[in-house]
Amino acid sequence: MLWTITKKQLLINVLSYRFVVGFVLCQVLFVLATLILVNDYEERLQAYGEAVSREEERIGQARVFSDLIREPLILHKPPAKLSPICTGFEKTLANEASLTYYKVPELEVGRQEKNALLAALRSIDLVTVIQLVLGLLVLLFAHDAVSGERERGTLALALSGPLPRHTFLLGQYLGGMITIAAIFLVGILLALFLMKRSPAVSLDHTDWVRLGLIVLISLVYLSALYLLGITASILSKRSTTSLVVLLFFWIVFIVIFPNLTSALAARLKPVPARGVVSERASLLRTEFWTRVHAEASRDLPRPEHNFDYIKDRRVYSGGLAYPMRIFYAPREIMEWELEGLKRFLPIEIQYADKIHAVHADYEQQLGAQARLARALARFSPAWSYYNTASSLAGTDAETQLAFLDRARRYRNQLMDYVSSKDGLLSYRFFSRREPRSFKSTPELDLLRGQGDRLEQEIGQGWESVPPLDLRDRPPFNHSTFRVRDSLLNALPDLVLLVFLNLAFFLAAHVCFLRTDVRVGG
Amino acid sequence: MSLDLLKKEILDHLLSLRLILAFVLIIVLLVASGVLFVMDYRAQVSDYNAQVNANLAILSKNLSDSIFQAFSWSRQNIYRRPNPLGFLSEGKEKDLPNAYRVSAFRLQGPDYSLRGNPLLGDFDALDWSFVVGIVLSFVAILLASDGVNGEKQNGTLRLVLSNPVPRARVLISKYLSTMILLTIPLAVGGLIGLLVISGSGLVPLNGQDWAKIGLALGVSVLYLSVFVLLGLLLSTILKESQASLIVSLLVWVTLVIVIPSGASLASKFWYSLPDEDAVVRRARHGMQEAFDNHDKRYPHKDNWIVSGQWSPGESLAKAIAIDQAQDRELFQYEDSKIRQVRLGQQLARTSPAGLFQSAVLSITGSGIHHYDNFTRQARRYRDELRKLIEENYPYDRVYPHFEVRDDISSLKVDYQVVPKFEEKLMTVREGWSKAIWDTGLLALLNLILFAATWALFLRYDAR
Repeated sequence: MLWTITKKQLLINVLSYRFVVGFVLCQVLFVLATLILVNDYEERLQAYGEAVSREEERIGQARVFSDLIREPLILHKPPAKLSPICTGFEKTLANEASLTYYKVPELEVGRQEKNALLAALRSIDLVTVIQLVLGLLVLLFAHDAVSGERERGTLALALSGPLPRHTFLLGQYLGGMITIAAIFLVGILLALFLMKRSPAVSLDHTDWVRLGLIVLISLVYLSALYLLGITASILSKRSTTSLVVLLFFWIVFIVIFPNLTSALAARLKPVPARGVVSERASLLRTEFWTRVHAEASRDLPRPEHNFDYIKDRRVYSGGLAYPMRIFYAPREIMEWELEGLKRFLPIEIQYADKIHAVHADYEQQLGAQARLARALARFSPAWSYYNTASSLAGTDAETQLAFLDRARRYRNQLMDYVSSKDGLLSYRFFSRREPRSFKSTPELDLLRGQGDRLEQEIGQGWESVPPLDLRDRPPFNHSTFRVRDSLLNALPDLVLLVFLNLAFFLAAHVCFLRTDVRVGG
Repeated sequence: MSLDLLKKEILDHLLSLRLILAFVLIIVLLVASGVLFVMDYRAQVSDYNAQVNANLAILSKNLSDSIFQAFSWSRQNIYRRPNPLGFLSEGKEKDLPNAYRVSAFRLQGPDYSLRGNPLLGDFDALDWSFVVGIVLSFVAILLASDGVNGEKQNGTLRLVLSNPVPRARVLISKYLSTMILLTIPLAVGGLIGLLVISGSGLVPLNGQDWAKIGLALGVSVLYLSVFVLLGLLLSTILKESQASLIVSLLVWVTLVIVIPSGASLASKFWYSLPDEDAVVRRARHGMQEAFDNHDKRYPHKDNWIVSGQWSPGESLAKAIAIDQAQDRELFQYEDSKIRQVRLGQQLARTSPAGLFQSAVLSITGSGIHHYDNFTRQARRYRDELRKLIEENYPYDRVYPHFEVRDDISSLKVDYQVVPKFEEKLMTVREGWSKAIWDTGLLALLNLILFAATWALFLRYDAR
């Protein structure tokens, strides 16, 4: 009996106008959106590949340890494979983190794409199409599931037999959901087919698991909306009334709501302007330099020296013992520079932590604001759905922040590595020469008179030195995010969606039991 | 007679649930957008003032040192002004850079110093352009989509047409009644919103601003009219009112939600940015060339002394030439980014919603226009500072003067003489000249839709 009702509803739906229009529209949208999104993904993947190889090449050219840890080392995050399905925060949060011994990677804005100004435009992904367009279509199908039958008089007819009301309701639900699922699944299969055609997209088995879960969640979301639609349809006398009510629900809760929640969260938990934070950080930086200068000028005078004996010296400033790279210098200068390094570098690392504390505090406030916005967004099933999908696609804010955390840990690992190579507070930080071979200025004066002995002693310059072998440096682990973690992140939203399904089904059931099935009843 | 028709149409709608819901929703949204804007703008203005004052304090301190300290070795921070018409169209300004660091030689940035939170999702502000562009257009199509076939189903259309009224008049009164009903909540909500905004005393709206508001209102009406006509057209083509409602909703979602979002993504398809590394390489190459050319043309024994930033004793003309060569490349690159965004907006103009948003954005000079405006003025300001140095440099500009560098290093300029950066917002005329095409296209679309509806309605079988 259930199957008969389901089949009846299915036929009614499939033969209707809305099915034809909705089906065609959805497929066209899925195909066009996927084409654009896959192209976008390919471009981002290419940019990522170029950036990584550029960085590798740069590190491969390191001659001293300061090249590794004083020049910004940039870690890149590969674009999430499922980002065409759900873009989430993939483009609004930075996809790279730069670190040095004096700078901890921070949460940045506006570097996510080659063109940060694209933030001025709206963007779309497949989950948005499902959330908005399919969400609308579901309501269009559901609004007359009961009230339409009542208007046509078929409801009284169907229930005049020995058919239990709950079977009828279940049949209506299944018939509608199968129609919707057909439209959705054909669309997502088309999208996947197009994605697979691109050589850039390679999905492994966890990606397929994630994808499967996203499809499942999408069905749960659509089902919640369908049940809501049926409830409204039972409660209203005329199908036009239920349609109007549902359409207003759609525009308020699905379209307007997220804009409202982020505006509200920004008022309820305000954050300081980014400029204020960078100002505070730059004050600390100034404080650091004041301290360095005070300690340098107090008791670290530069020894007398002859510029002819110094080659390729790169330092913070001429009078300060704070070297970056020195190819050749007399022993006194080298010793003076090392002494400065030993004094100042620990202070600079200490200030890096202080500056990070300022940023971390700011980041914490941003996080609290975002959490509030997310909690408020749960009032709308559409945003519970979107958040779950972006968790599963690995494009939610948590995954992006986890990348930043890993980058911060990597900075510590890298510093430990450099320390273990004795490259931090030693000559190896800025020079490749052995301390035993250093010669003092008088010794060099002696060499000067002996033909090209001095030139031989000083050497050719950095080009003649082979790069450091850094192959044993700790590797940066890109992806540690697991399906389980994503599910845990999404759990509250997930539970809410399932709960909504049950609640709406129960509501529909209770209302339907008490409803008057006669025409105009 | 036609007044009676109009009255009947309005009364028909007035009793409907959708109109009541729409009225409440739109008025609440417009008022809320006004209130939210006032709160937001207050924070923006206080941040802006604090940052500008901090910058001026540093400038005045640097000026008391030397022109080198003020204009070459350190940078001023300059900021984009908060947009007093942000409530009309915010244009995602929160997510766009709003600051530059500028010396007389270089323009660095752009930087972000606003309160935007990257951890919040990427959503439009709740501004006028959102409320009209999305919510009101939705209501418009909802109201109009059963205008013709609904009456046929009720049988009232035959009744009306059996009277001696021209069909055109029936159609026009349907159109006008819907437009009137749409304008009421727009006017009421907009007015309360404006009262909140101007009552706060925070946003002094001048004549220019009122003109912009008026223009935006005009464009809004044109835009809504497109959807009313579209609804009527579909309701004339399709027999059942249910069918026309559903089809018009799906058309609406495509035009208003999907196309504007998808089109902006597609802009990367059509226009890719030049390779950044190549740009940087070319810029470096240009600098080197300018450097060598200068030394070749004006040989001097001290030409080899270079600090990287114009410092006492170094040639002024050379420093300028080098930075100009660099700017040529970098500015072009920055401009290409703006062009890519503009292209995205242009692609979105395949939909009336895109036309509308683009027109309001131009009229209010918000979003990418505001950023562009700010960038241009920042570049001009850099040139002004350069001119100021040239005017106040008493030595020959072409050659180095190492022998007198101690004298040069104490050169100073009075704080009063130094131009201060303050962004001038776009004028009505500038904005309108950009919006005129969009408005024209919207008007044309109206005409076409009206003609089509008319033609179909004249031959309409009312039975």
